[in-house]
Amino acid sequence: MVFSSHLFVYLFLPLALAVYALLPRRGKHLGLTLLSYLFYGWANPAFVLLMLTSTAIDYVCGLTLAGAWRGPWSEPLEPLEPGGPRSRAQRWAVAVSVVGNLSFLGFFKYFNFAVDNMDTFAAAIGLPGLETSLRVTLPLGISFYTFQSMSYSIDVYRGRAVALRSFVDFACYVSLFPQLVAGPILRFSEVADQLRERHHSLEKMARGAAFFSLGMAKKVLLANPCGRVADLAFDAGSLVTADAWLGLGAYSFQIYFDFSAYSDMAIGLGLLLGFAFPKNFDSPYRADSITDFWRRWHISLSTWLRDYLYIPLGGNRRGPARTYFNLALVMLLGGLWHGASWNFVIWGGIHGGLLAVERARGREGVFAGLPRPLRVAGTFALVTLAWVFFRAESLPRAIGYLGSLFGASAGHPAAGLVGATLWQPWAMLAVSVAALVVWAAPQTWDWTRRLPAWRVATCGGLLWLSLAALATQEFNPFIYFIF
Amino acid sequence: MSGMEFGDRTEGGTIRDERARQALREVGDTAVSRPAAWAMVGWFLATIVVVPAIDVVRGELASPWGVLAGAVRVAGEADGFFATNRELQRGIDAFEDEVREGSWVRERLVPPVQAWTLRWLRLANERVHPGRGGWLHFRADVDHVVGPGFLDPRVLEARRAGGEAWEAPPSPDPLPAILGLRDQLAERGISLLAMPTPVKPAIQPETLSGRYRPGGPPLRNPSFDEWVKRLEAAGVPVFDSAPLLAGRAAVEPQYLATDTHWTPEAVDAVAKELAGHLEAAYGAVLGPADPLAFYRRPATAESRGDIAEMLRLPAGAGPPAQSVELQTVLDGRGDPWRPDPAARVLLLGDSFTNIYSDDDLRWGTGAGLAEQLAFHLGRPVDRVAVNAGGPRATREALARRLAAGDDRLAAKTVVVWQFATRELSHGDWARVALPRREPPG
Repeated sequence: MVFSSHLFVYLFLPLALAVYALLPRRGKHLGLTLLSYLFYGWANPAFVLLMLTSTAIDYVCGLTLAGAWRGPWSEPLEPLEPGGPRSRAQRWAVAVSVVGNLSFLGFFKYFNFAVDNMDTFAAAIGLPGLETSLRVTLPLGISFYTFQSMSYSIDVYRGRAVALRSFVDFACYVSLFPQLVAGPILRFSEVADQLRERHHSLEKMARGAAFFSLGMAKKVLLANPCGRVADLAFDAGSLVTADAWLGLGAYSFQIYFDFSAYSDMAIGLGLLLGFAFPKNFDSPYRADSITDFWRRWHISLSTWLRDYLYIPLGGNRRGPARTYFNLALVMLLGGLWHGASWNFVIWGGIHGGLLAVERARGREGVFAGLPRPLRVAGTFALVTLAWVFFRAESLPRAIGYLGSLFGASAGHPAAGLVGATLWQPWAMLAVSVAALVVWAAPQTWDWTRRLPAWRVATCGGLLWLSLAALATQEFNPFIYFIF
Repeated sequence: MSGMEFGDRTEGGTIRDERARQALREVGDTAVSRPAAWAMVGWFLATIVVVPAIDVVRGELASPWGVLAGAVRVAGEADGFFATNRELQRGIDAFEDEVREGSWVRERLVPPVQAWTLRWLRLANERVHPGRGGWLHFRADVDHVVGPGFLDPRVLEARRAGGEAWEAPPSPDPLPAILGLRDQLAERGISLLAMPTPVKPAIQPETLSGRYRPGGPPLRNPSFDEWVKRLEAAGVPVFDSAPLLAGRAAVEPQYLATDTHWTPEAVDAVAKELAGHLEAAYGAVLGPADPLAFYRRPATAESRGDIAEMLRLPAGAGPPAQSVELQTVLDGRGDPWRPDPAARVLLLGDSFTNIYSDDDLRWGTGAGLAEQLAFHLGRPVDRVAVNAGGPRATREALARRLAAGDDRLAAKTVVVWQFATRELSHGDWARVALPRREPPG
């Protein structure tokens, strides 16, 4: 189920809000958990069992880490001493959690990729392939909830959070439908206290409704039309140069608005349920360097990778060479986290390489010295070019697309037809408004901080406009849903 | 719940994360008056509740229990878990479609919104590209022409993986299906002639883009030539009408402006050339032609076109209906032409065969491809054609008739298999087993 769907907006959401409002305080988390499982199982009911298994493993690991099995069940659990000694059982518990989650992720996300690569390699050296007919279906959102679930055990192990005794509360944290399948990735330490107790107010609900309305507008009115332009360009067999650039620019806007809209809607839904989720985007296309970009883009992932991978690897504490290596490795793995394909590895490698270059220049961007507008433009151009690998279906298609961008494509006679479908008023309007919002409009967080009547009316109007468009659109993908 | 404190050590966790702290602080700082807050929340809740409420009152809200019905039915089967899961997915998908399509909000909004976006933004829906001068194009046709090669292994693999989870994966490669039919026909001593029918943007690209001029060479999918080469190497001749149509397009349109199909004049021209091809290749075994077996009578037909219908515009707001001149074919007795099961030629086809023949397509009757072929051939022709369902549906229709004892392959010399070229990129080319002929006695 996607947020921008008739079913979610007109059936699931009213049901969820009604159930949540009507349930007594003690039953709210159980109600939320069951609703979240319904939400998750809607795409593939069988995967509910997978999420339940992952949740159960981490729940037991958490209790083991906290030593909950020793004392009476009613006794409150205490946090572990940060940096203090850990028992063998505690080390095992955190290892089981990390290995268990990574195994789920590895099998469901990378099995097909591994088999395909082994077959290719075997064929290259003249050996028979694995000849397996098994193809693994990727469970929705597995990359998000395994990271989220894993952060719980690690935070408890590090003494940053206290384990939960209640399985329902923990299952609610892992499965919370607003951010379950496309983030933002919530660390346990970020919401632990809110799980215990949170405040509901009219102001919070109003801001949540405003967030959701603006997110829906970004998704339906900007991301979808830009996505349509991008699909026409990337699905074409051959393109002329101008068409290729328009398609790529549209994709750059699509992925930003698609994902940031989802985050806005998730934050809005969280607020309607009393949760405050952290900001996930901070105007990333206004970044003036790649380092700056990664401070602003998908913040919940980049900080997760920083805290649970980059810093444990040694971060920047082991000399320049190791720092560059760590940056590159983290970004390569970050790329692979997005999808099981060499394209994602290359995309991660490009960003890792650029981060390493900037680190070598003392965190100066490659466009340092230029006026800020040019630094922003240059950074946007680099990020956008790297999106080619993110969007193209395969490496040859990515290389072909890059060829079209720089006029090196052979040019099929039918390529001229693509432009006729692309350079249309609706596409120009969508891309222009998207650019305006990216570089000139305030962020949702800032704009909704004050909600005078005219802003309420604007949010309501945009909600209606986007729902009207949603009712008439057939094209409604959600990019990060598949990661 | 009461107001939350920023406890450093509470059961369930600690808030030490600056981002979380910032988020909570932010939310606590929202400046909104109570009337404005009520208005925002009320507006939002009313919006999401009114639509389903009206659907309930109208009795149009789909029942969710149907989702479970299929799952319950298969739960006891051998692979119960996976079968149940597949049925649940199928039920969920159908329910979601029913809820969306049956909703009044969609019913009321689609026509005016579509009319507005088409007029002011030149934005049609997912299935239609607006062309130049009032021409409309079916998106699948354009995608086929401009898309990657349909024989590209990566394209084939992506299409195989792209089917619904609860259905058998589609068969995207057209070659095995065509060769399979060739083999099954050969067992009965029948030849196969493949007849890919070009789509509108391939022949009249100037109606979509100003970069082209009428009468230019036909545009092909990058895999088309390779596909023809492979078929011919495997002994399946290909009748390609694209050069003929492209040449004629320099003089007059060969396709309908707001419909996916060709004009009656194009059908007639292609039928004439096909008849010549069949005469040259199989004339000796088709028997003598009778130039007086059929004659033609002019008629007219008028329709808005199937692409215009796809737009779901308000009544009276769409493009004007197009009028065409037909040549209806009658037999020597003056009766309308009918497919003849005893004919030596069988035409398998899709809606390109049925247009001007099948009243369901709303462009008149008695003047389709089979009719014109019979007229030009001077011999009876048999026909099995299905309007929708792609290349699989036609063969399945033939297989069903054979299984029912209606042996439409009896006495045949050649089967002409007509299909739109878009099917090479989008169709399901699963093999279809034709029932074997019972040995005499």
